[in-house]
This record gives sequence, C-alpha cells and structure tokens, in this order.
Amino acid sequence: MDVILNINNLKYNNIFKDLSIYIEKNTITAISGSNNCGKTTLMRILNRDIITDSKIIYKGKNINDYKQEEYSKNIQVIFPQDILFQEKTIIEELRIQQDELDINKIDFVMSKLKLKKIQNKDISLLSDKEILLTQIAISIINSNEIIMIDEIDNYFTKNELINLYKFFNQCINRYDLTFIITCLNLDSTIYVDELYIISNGKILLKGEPLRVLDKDNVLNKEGLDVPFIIDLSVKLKDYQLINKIILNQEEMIEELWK
Amino acid sequence: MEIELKEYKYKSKKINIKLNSKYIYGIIGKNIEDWEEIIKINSNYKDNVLINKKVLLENELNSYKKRIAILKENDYLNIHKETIYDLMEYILKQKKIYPKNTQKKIKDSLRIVGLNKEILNRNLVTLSRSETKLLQIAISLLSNPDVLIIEEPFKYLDIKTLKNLMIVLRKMKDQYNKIVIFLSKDIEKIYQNTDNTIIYNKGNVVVQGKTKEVFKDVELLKENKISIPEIVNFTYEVKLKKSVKLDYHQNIRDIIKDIYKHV
Repeated sequence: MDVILNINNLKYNNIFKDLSIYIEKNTITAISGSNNCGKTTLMRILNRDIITDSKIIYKGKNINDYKQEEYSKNIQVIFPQDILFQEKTIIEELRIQQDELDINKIDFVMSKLKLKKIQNKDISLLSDKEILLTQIAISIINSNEIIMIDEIDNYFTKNELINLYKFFNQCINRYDLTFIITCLNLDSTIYVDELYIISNGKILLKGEPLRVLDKDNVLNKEGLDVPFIIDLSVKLKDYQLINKIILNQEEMIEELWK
Repeated sequence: MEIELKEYKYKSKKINIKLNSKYIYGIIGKNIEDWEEIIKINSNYKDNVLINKKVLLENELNSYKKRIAILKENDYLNIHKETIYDLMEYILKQKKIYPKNTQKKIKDSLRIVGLNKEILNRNLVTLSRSETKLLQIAISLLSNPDVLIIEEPFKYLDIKTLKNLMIVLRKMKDQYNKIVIFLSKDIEKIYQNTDNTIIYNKGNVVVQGKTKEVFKDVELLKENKISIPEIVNFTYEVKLKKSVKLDYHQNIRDIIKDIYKHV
C-alpha cells in the first residue's frame, strides 16, 4: 500500500474530533456524509485555506511545511463554485498555465471530456458543468499529482459521474494521478476505489464501496440514500430471496424469476 | 388557492393547466424555467386565467404577481452583508415589506424552515450549502407568498434535511393554502416527493397528473427524454421480461413486499 496523503487524527473546532483518512496513490477516493458533516471544511483544510495543528502528511512532509508554489503544483483542490479563469477560452487558459503544450495529452483529455467543441468558446458563456469539466481538464493537463473535487455530485448525473470515474481511471494509468472527491449522493460511489463516511467528526464507515454501501441501516440513519440496486439487493437478501448482492438489474430480475 | 390557465397562450402554444394548493407539484422536462414566466402571467392575456375560479382582471394582475415567490438556485447569494440578519433586513426593505416587528418576522421565517436563530449573527459565507439552501427558502417566505416556485429544491440536501423541509412545505400547503411547485432535473426526488407531476417540453404540457400515474407511462418518458426513476424502471423491466405485474411504488420497502408476493 502506497499512501500518498495521510490525514492523522485531525481535530478542528467542533467539526473534526479525531478524523483519520489514508489516501492510496493512484486511486479514486470518495468522502461522503450528511449535511454539515465537514466535507467542504476538510477540502478547505487540504487546500490550506484553514490551517490546523493536526498531522496531514503528503509525501512524508506536513502539508503546512510546503511552499505554496510547490504545494499547488502537486495538489489541486477544485471548489466548483469558486472557479475563476483569467483568459477568454480554454485553450488560452491552458497556454498561460503551461510553458509547452503537450498536444497529445490535451487532445486526449479534451476529447474524453467532450470539451473540444467548446475549447475556443468564450468561457463566460459556458455552463457550470462545462466550467467544472474545464477546470478538471486543466488540472489533469497540468499534471497535478492529487486532484480533489468538492461536491462533484451536484454537477453531474449518475451516468455522467460513472463515465467521469472511468476517465479518471484512464488518467490514473496514463498520468500517475490520484483523485479525491466529496459527495452527498452515493449513487455512483460503487465505481470508486475507497469510500469514507464522516459522522460526528470521525470516520463512521470506510472501505471498498460495496462493503460500506451494504450498511443500509447505518447510512439511512445518517441521512444518506443507498443506491437503489444495492438497497434492493440488501433487503431482498434479508428476506432470503437472493443470496448475494447483485449490482445489475437484469441479473437481479433473472435471479428472482428463474 | 387555485390557478387555472385555459388555452393560455405562451410561446405560440396553448397551455391548459390547473394548480391547486392541495398538491405539491413537480415540473420536469425541457425549458422548465419557462414556468417562472408562465405562472406570473403576461400582461396581454385574455380572460383565460382563473384564480380561485374567478377570472383574473387586468387591474388585479399586479397584486396577483406579488403573491408569487420564485426562488432560483443562486438567489440572494451575491448580496454582501455583514450578517444574515442584515441580509434579511435588507431584503425586507428591498421587497418593500415593513412588518410590525422585523426581528420576529425574520426569526419566524427561519423557524419555519428549521434553521436556528443563532445563524443570524453569522456571515453568509460561513453557512454550509444545505444551510444556505434553507436560508434561501426562509427569505422567499418573508413576503408570505401564496405560490412558491423553487428551482432545484433538492440540491445540497441530505435525506433528513429534505424530509424536514418537505414536512414544512406540506404544512404550508395544508394549513396556509399555498401552492408549492418544484422545477427540477432530479427525477428520482421529484418521483419520491411530489403529488402531481407536469412534463413540459418547450412550450408544450406533454402530460400532467398524479406523479405515480405520470411515471407509469415509461414509453412517454422515453419519448420525451426524461430519465426513468430506478424503482419505476425495475417494475417496468420486470413486466416486460417476466410478465410479472408489480405495482408502481415510490418506496423501496413497498416494492420489496410486492416482489415477495410475486416470487
């Protein structure tokens, strides 16, 4: 296990009492929890907008010990509502951020995110979703080592998120990246590598998504919706109508009415 | 409260619809933001708008418009005031609302949506997204509207917060006779939280009716490129593939009981 970011017993005001999260390199980690559990505050801490005394170690060094330039070169935290661009188009924005443009990489990222059509369009005319995709594209092209996106589920549908995670996995393999996202809706989290649920300033559940998502009672108590097919599976299993968790609707129907 | 539009002309199409405070409405489809204009009624309408079964006269139009509150996703977020109290006081003045007791008015509207009065001393930027959402709704209630239209009401809210908000909105509708309308792309939440649904497609009311009934017509949803709630889709596929007729449920516990009966 190669831990790239280690949040160790984080304490902050009354929001975090003892929060520990270990982010493995080259993975997608989702952090979720009910309203006001501190998801965005955690992102603010990782973006160093909020400074704490707690140990948050990135590559063997406390995040507060990095110079701003070095830190922001490696770690990009995206707050969708705060995205600001300096230039008029995506291509111009990329030009001012990079000395030499890696055309192949730009081409791959822009086409996968379906941004090619709008790369020369005035940024001020883009939708919120396009702006967020643009920022994600720029972060990947800029080779930030860890890319974090706050409240990603507010901007994409379930299927769009599933496709986005597939694309993130391609980027992990090609460009050695690591992704951390926060979300309220758990619908697409089955497709990430690791899922953390925050509650009362601590980690309530963590692990492979399926092992977290099958705790339907715990999640419902927290105010979180379990994805439909998993919820259905868990409950049908309780009724002994099936004997395993089934993630595919067709398979579920076949299993029930053999 | 009841609003009825009969052959009401909008974007060269004719709209026929009845909205009643007995129900919470969800409007889904393309260009749903049109409804912010449709409900406000344009000035050149001709005797085809009925309010509580009486024809809306032209000289009543302005007072009718004042009874409508439309809450857009980013409303009030760009007004910079030191505290939430200052912000709400400012909005009261802006809307020319002069209550006898401003403090009480402000605290009451916060209480209705379940926000603690302690937030009044905080700055807007310190609120979480869910607190901000509830505050926006509290602000839109300051004018005591008869019709409340909320754009994307479910965004940023977890189940508990949404449940509490729905209790508040249902109480407003039942006790104070208010019409509540949601404009949303979140089909799953519209299916679970509304009584009636209207599918709208660029000027056309494609269908209107009880939410459960509207969503039963999966083919129509597909034709109009409306995504299908997962629980509906499951029921539909079971019928299609296995000829098993489950009822269309809004709640997972109910469908489980139904499956148990049919397996």
